[in-house]
Amino acid sequence: MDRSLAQLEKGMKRRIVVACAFFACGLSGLSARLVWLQVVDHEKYAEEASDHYSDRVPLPASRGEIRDRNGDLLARNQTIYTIVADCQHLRDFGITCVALAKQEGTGPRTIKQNYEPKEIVSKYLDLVSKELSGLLRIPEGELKRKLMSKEKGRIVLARDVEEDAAQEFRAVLGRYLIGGIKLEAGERRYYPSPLSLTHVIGYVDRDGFGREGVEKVFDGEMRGEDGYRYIERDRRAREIHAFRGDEREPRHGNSIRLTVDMSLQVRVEEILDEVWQQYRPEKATAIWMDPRTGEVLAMASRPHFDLTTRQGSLRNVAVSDFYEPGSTFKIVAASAALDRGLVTPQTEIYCHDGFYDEEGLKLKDHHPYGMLTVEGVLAKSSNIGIYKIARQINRLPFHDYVTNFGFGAPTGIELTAETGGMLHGIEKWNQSSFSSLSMGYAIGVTPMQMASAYCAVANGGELLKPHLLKAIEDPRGRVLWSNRREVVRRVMSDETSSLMRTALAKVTQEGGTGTNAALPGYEVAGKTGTAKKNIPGKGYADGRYVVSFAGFLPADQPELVGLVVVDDPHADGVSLYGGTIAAPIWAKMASQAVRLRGIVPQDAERHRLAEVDPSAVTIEGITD
Amino acid sequence: MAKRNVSWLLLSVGFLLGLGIVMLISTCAFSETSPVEDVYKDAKRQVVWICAGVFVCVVTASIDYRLYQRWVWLLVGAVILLLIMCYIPGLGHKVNGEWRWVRLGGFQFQPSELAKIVLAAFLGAWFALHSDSGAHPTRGFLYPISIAGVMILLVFFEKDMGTALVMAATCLTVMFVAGVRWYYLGGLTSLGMCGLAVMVKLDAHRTGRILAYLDMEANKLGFAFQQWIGLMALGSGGVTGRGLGEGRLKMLYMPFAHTDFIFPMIGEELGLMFTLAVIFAFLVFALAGASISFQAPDIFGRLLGMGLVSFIVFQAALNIGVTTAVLPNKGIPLPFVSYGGSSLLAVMVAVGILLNIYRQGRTDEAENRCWVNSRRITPRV
Repeated sequence: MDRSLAQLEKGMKRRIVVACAFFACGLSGLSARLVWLQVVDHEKYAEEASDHYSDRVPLPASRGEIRDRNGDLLARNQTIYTIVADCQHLRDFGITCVALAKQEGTGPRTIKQNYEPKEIVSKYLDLVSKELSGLLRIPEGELKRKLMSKEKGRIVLARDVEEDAAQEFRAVLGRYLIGGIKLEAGERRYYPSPLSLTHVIGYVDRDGFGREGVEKVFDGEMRGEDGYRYIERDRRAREIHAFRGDEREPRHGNSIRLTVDMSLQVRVEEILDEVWQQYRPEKATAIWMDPRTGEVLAMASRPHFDLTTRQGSLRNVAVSDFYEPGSTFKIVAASAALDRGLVTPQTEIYCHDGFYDEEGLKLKDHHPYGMLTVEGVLAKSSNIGIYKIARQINRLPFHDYVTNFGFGAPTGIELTAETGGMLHGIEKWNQSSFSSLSMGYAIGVTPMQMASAYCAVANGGELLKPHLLKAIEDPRGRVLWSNRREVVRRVMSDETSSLMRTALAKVTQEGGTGTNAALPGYEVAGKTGTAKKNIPGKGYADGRYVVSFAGFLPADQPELVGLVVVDDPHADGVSLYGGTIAAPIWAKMASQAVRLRGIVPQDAERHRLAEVDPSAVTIEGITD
Repeated sequence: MAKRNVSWLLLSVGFLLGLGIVMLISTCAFSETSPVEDVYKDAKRQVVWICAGVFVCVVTASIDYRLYQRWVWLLVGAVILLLIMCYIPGLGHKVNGEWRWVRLGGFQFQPSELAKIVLAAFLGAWFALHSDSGAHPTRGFLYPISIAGVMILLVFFEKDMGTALVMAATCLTVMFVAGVRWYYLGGLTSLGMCGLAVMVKLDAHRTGRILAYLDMEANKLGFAFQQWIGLMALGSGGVTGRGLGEGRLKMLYMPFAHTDFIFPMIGEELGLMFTLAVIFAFLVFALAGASISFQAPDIFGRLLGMGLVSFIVFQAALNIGVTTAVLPNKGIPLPFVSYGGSSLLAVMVAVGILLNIYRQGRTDEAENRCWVNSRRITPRV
């Protein structure tokens, strides 16, 4: 027995050693696993873990503002909030129990003991939907369904919530201790006057990219660069400030200052609205510029576009559309002939009796004019006369003048979707297209090109690049860049320019076509334009016109160039001419412009008149 | 070794207890369950539990372990009764859908913790009585396994699968040491595996956990979330760790970060050095405990000692295996380290009994100079 017991004990002790070996093997295996996890796979898990707790938070850059030349705000940023539900937090006991305890007037622990977890969440979501449904304008049931739909992640409940409404939200969230609903601040572009200068400004889309107009052209300048910050979050997604990591400050966007004078712009828009009402045209546009610098002071187009609702036509007629200018284009032939010394302003041209028929070319004037001086040809707008002047120049030099005036190529103004118009190459010209071109047909010009061309006539013969951008300023207001006068080329000599100014001044005087553009106290120079409307595929339509007036003042030392184009006006009792429709509109705008721009009248006596009744010139009651 | 085994045992236990309280202070403030007004409440409570544990350890170290042999049937009966009480709604207390707790007179505890110790005592007593029956099919195997099986299954159906597994492994180890034929044990193990597979298949929740375990990457936000976080914590800790208190993942939604999943938190904050140290400490504990059993004065002491050592080591291995995703997810605390009173008291009782076995085993004067033996509180039975 003893021996067997001893044997038994021996066996038992041996098996204890075996068991120990087994323990040692098992624990060694786990050690190997740990070495694998913590040494070999360390990088992988460290990266994976940092995805969980750390976050790269963008620090958004503010978009630069847009101001007019006087510093009035045209576009700024407005803080708006997105209301987001964090589904995980809505189910966090730390949040739900506290809110329910407040509602039921007990402690969080009681809530946790009294209800099942699912009940707590459901009751909490009931509370949230009840209190927020009013503010969110979502019915209670629907809101709860929405909040129940996901267990994790975020649900956007409302966008574009403005500061006032956000305050209300904060108050409600605070009052009921509601957690898991967040207000995320963002910025939205805000346009103080959403119905002015809309085609020039353009708009910013939801993602903060400029889409049209200067918002697009200067997008890179205004957008700035978002910064970032690495933060770490705890499980309730609260930032742990102690573990804040790298960060880079955002670079806020630069502001831009436009050459536009908003006070003038508003008047121009108002007048254009009246035109839109009165004549029901297809399109209308007006451009006002400073001929000395090439700065655009006002630019408006119809059909309109509303920056707030984004309703209407985005097309900026002033640069994106071209039209057959008609007689306003006659300055090209006239100044070319004067510049080359082929004619003087007093050279007499025989304009027949209103009809001209030579080698199959048939031209017609409005009236039989007989003999006219070059000035007279412009003042009466004789087609026959201008063709005869152009004929003296010859095709090639004339073509050069057309292109030198900037026609056929974009002006390069800081706007989107600018077209160069339409100008046939000289190799395609025949006699009729040459004659047509001299009187402003067979060419497509943009209003912007036409306004620039008149600037060249007005400023002494230099074609300037038109500008909308006056300056770029950094967020602190320091000027980073400011606009300089940019000469594209000299189109004509100073003397020619002077002769042209005198000749064009005759247009608005007694006997000219543009008498309606005359402004008391100022000598106005300009040219009317009445072109038959070319309907694509149908040719020139009877009774439908594109009427325009381009002009500048004061005639001897111009400070202001303006162009008004009305495409296809409808009117009863008024003839559809540039002189009868466009010229009065131009005068009405000019009367505002001289006042706002502080242009001193040349005539003291007339000055007094102008002061007594600045709106003496009206569209109503005009006769041919 | 033989002389100093008890010092090593106490050294490893002390190290684990100390590390446990340090890590608890570091993590409990972020626990979902910790009250807002006193985030260190759990840590404070654990200090009290450790004091109570040491006290209980001293008391059990002073009680002659042979008492348990004498009263073993009473103990088995009491444990089975307590385990059954868990299922009775008035007495049992349901936590997370599991009937692990029993409430008696304002005091609640997990009978399964007690069951582990009683199981070791029962098997030791049985095979001490039938020391020559290792090869006997009924006395040497079928009878003891039936009684042990009742306890294990009662625990298993409380949905405490982890503890049931630990008990089963303990049972097998003790029976192996006692000399039960290996093919009985092998057969039993395979039978148990099959049974387990069927159980898992029948329980959708458990099936989900197993499937999540098999494809952890795909389920890292679902069933495997906890283990995945555990892996990230361990992996991102690297060799040296982020530094004490610098752990990040405890701040994520990590249930049981300070209880069952304390080990990954050690790995994240203190690195491989300390995770290996923990494993080494358990190895030292196992060897020291086995050495004490080796020198136990009788068969009961030897088997009881091995039973206690193996339940603690298996529990540690299971916990570490789960947190390192070697094994599917099961909730089981890491002995000495995890927060929790019931579990701590149980392991401290086990340590106390081991100490008593050590003391009874030493008779010669030279050994008695060792400080654990310097004073004898209770006479030998």
